[in-house]
Amino acid sequence: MGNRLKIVGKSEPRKDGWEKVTGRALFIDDIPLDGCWYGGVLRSDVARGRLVSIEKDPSFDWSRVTVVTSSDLPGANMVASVRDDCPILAEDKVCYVTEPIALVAAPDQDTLKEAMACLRPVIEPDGEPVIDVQDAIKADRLVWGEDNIIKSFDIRMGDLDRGFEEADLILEESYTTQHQEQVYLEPQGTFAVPGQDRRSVDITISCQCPFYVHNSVVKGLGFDPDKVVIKQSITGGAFGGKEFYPSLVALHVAVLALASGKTVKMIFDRHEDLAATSKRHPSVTCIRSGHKKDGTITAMDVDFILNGGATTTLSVVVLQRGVLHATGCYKVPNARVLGRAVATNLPPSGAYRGFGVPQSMFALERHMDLAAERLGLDPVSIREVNLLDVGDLLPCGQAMTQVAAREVMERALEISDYRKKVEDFKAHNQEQPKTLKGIGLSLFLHGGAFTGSGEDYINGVTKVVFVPGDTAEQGRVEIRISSTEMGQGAATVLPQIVAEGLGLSLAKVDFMTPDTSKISNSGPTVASRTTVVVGAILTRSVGDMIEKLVDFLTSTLGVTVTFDGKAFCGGSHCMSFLEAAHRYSQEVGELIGWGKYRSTGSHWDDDTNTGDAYPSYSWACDVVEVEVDRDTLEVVPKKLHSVVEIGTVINPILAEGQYEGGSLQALGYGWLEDMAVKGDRIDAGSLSKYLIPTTMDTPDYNLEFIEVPYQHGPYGAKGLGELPHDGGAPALAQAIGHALGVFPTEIPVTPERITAMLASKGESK
Amino acid sequence: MKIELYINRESYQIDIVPRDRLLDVLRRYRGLTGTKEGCGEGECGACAVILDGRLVNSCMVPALELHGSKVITVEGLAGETDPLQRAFVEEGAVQCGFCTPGMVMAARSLLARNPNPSREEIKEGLAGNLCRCTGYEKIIKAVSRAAQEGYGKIAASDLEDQEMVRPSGPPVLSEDEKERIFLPYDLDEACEALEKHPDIYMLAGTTDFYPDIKKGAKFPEKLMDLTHLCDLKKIEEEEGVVVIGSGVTTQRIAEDPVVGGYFPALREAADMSAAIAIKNKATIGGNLMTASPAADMPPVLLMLGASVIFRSSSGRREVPMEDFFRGYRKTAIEPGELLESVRIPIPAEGTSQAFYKRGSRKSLTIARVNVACSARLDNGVIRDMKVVAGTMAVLPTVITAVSELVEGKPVTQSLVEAVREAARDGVHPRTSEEYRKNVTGNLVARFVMELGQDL
Repeated sequence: MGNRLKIVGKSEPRKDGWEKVTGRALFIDDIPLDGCWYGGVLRSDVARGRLVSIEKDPSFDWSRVTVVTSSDLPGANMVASVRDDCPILAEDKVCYVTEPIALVAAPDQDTLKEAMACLRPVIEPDGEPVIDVQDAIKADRLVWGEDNIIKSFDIRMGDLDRGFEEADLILEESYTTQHQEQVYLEPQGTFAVPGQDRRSVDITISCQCPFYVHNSVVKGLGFDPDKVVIKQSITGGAFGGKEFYPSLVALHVAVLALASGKTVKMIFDRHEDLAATSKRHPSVTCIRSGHKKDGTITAMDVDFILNGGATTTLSVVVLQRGVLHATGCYKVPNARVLGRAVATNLPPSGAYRGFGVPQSMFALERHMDLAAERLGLDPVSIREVNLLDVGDLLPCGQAMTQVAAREVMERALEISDYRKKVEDFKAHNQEQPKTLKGIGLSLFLHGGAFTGSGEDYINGVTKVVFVPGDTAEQGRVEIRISSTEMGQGAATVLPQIVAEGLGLSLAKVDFMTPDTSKISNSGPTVASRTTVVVGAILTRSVGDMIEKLVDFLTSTLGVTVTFDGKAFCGGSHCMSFLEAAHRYSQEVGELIGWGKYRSTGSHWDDDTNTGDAYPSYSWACDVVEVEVDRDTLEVVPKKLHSVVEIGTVINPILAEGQYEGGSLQALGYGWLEDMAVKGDRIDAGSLSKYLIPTTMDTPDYNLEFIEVPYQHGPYGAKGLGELPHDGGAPALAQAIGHALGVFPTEIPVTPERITAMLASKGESK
Repeated sequence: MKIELYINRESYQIDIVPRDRLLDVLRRYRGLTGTKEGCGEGECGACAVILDGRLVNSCMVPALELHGSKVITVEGLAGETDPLQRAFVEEGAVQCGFCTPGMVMAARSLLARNPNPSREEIKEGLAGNLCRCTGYEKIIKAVSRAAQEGYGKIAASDLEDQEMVRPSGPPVLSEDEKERIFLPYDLDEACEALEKHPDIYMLAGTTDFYPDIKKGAKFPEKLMDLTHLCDLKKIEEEEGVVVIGSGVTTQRIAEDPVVGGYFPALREAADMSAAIAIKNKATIGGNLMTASPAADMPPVLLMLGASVIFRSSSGRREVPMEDFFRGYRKTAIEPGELLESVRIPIPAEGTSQAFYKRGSRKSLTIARVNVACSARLDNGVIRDMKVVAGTMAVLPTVITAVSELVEGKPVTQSLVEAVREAARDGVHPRTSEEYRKNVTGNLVARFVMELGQDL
């Protein structure tokens, strides 16, 4: 392994690039379907109430359509996930606005619309809805369980009291973040084809995790697993938004297809998608910390609360990841992290890139800035004195085996010229110009792979198949696993890993769009695990194929054959992988390389939440420069300097694209994206209200990778997908603060919030 | 109804129903699914195509106006031999691919007009196309590379489609449609139809039409398409007045040298009104007739002392802008009338104008604050200052207190501060009050301060 790589480490153009840039790629709504029906969901307009009945207007001819309510469901009324508490359709109570109440399928869109308008749910309100997490914690009105606490974690290390006693300064502050919507450009969509006997169903869906959907549909319908086939369609972005939610959508179309006997398709309108699907959890984090005069942290007590909405979805694991990253890149000798996911009468929150970390990291990084300010230090030195080192413990007890925090920060300070700009901008702003300038930084880490023992439970398997042609040269290799391409580049990066191992050109290795009847379960495409975990398992598939060929050739040729990375040689024989595989498939049969997950040796105790939270961490430092118009408070991010350590970079151009794209989402989270909750509902029902950054709101990027190969990653690679979302918002908040002399503790930092901050410091204009 | 149009340079006859959009024609009738629907209301650009040489969002173009049109979609590009598409693939500008076809069309349209754009111009040209994956950097690089490779020459061929050619025959309407769908080619014909059917709903740029339908507005019974009325598309200078036809697009207003020369504030308002694909469709007449409180044109036109001309079969009627708005989404139009033009008096020599707009982000955004200002300096003192703020209330707010305050005074720091207060107190926003009052005050103060610097 290592120094003479041909394909790994190269900016290979993505394999699905041409079909996408020419418009030939068929997304879910592009797939031609003859005679399909259209499905729709009747949703609650009440956040908290009793569903008394669903009245059907008798003037409508109901024989024209199929209607399904909770009493018509064929199996258990649940969407199996982390917990099974999300109903497919509301039964006797409704818990949030947009909760599904009934389903309709119709032969065309107009009939569907007409029928939906003729259905009227009768809902008796059941008291004030619970919206605020502090209200929910009081538990005087229950949304979930006996206390509205969906899940809590309480992690402790050292002696908190003693830590605070040792402190010269004790500091307490609260930080707030709001919903964030994924805004994948392709809305949720799916279609289901019922089996002829209506005892099986075939579902094609825009999603991240085909086996999650499979599991939910199998359990929700009560079918045998082999009676349900889930095929991923080319997926137009996901960012976590197509992790849980497609299970619900798939059940809806499946139920309609089985009830009507028709192929039923459902494509969400953007309004419905914005209003109903799960978003990033809003959070309130209170941090109390003790510091020595030089900034050294003596104790930290973190109270991290996520607003989970009405059902669990993925709140348990989102919370856990947020909790386990709560002390970031810093050494905290005495720590407590209490995390609670709280149920409210809002649509269920869910997965979004970063998975709880952008929330807890925002609070932590802002708190470090606050401590610096209070101690008369600068944001760099407070971080420097507290940096984690190899051998230091995280609050969960994990001993760090690799830390790149110092390297990424030092390099980021260098390439951004941070220290000089802090002074230059300060001087510039004192001249009272029209445009104020600010600069801010954040330092952060992200664990790649499932939390704790998650990978052991998933126990991913990869399957790589040789597809023979008429001649050896026409043969090719196909990766058939459940990992999905959704824009991030798995369909290019994973083939690069396989092609490198087999000594093939990248063109010879294809990535099959998942179909659960044909693939192995390599796990879901989440948690920054696809390259680092699945990529590593794939190298074992490669090894398995090579071993099979070596054994085969050794026994058929009668000489000891070895593989040198390019060819199989023994005695006077030498043949390429394609020649060897072609021969194998003619003489033995199908050549399949199986790869099995192997633990990295980390330990985790699920009962106490202690041990190695993640097998590896990726590291980054962001430095953001902003300009703020003094008259209009318009904020524009001008430059983003980032230094990123993700082990070996498999494909630089795709990795840059991931980092830049994730960063812009993070910046948007910090100042622009405002999914305001008005009363009991989400207010931003269109993309003219929920604004995301355009080209005009985009900074110039200055991005560098530091590569420290990771021993358990494929060719040394680590995870990347979520990392860039963790740091943009706190860095931006620091930069805005620097420009205006305020201290934002709440995002998005909208002009209204800036106005309020300026007013409270006595500058109302 | 049956229309005839060119898609990717081939002629088709297509049977459409009145509510169809260009997007439906492409995807449903022609199976051209490269053009995507991301929002259905012009906010994302995934459905962008080139229509008669200009970039539009196909989700907001009614099919009934397409008779004789020429459309280029992503399928009409050369594919593997197309330098722009190649640059997208090789520069990493493609991720999930859903925004990509629309983005490619926006880039092509930009390079057709501006073969060597700066980085800033590329950003402006693509500002109406959302991408959530890339952070745009690789897209900007791809467009820049295609420009360097001379793609502008290839793209410029689309501009030939701008010439409006009347198709050989009219579109074919069913008997029933003839009573409901009106596609006039001259004004008299249009007025005649309006006289007979005063309940006709008129379609101009239609950038609000489909969003309104999506939000629950009823699809109108009777429709008249105004886009083929050449008389409404003129900009003419008369004695002391510039007349802008109601069908002139905001993009043309932003580009027109006469408008830019006399009315820089109007040019600015048009330019900032939306992203390019919207500006290529939206008309000044539509911007007025929609009578939306957030519209960008009304405050400027009020500030400029404009009037509008309504036309009916019985003749013309002039209404000053002050009397034009009659309430939320209500105007002074009478049944049987259509808005023909806007007449704007040419301001006195030496008049300074400004239009400021603040949304929540840089582009393609609804104004939260917009202010139009004008004044001139006469022997060192301010004369004839006018300030009009939009967005604050149902109707644009004329801030007379500022005009009275500054008349005849020289620009001093204390006057600027007094202006700030007066402008601040002159508006009464219903939401985000502090912020919007402050910004209004600051912007009007900025105008007066800059007026002083012109000395």
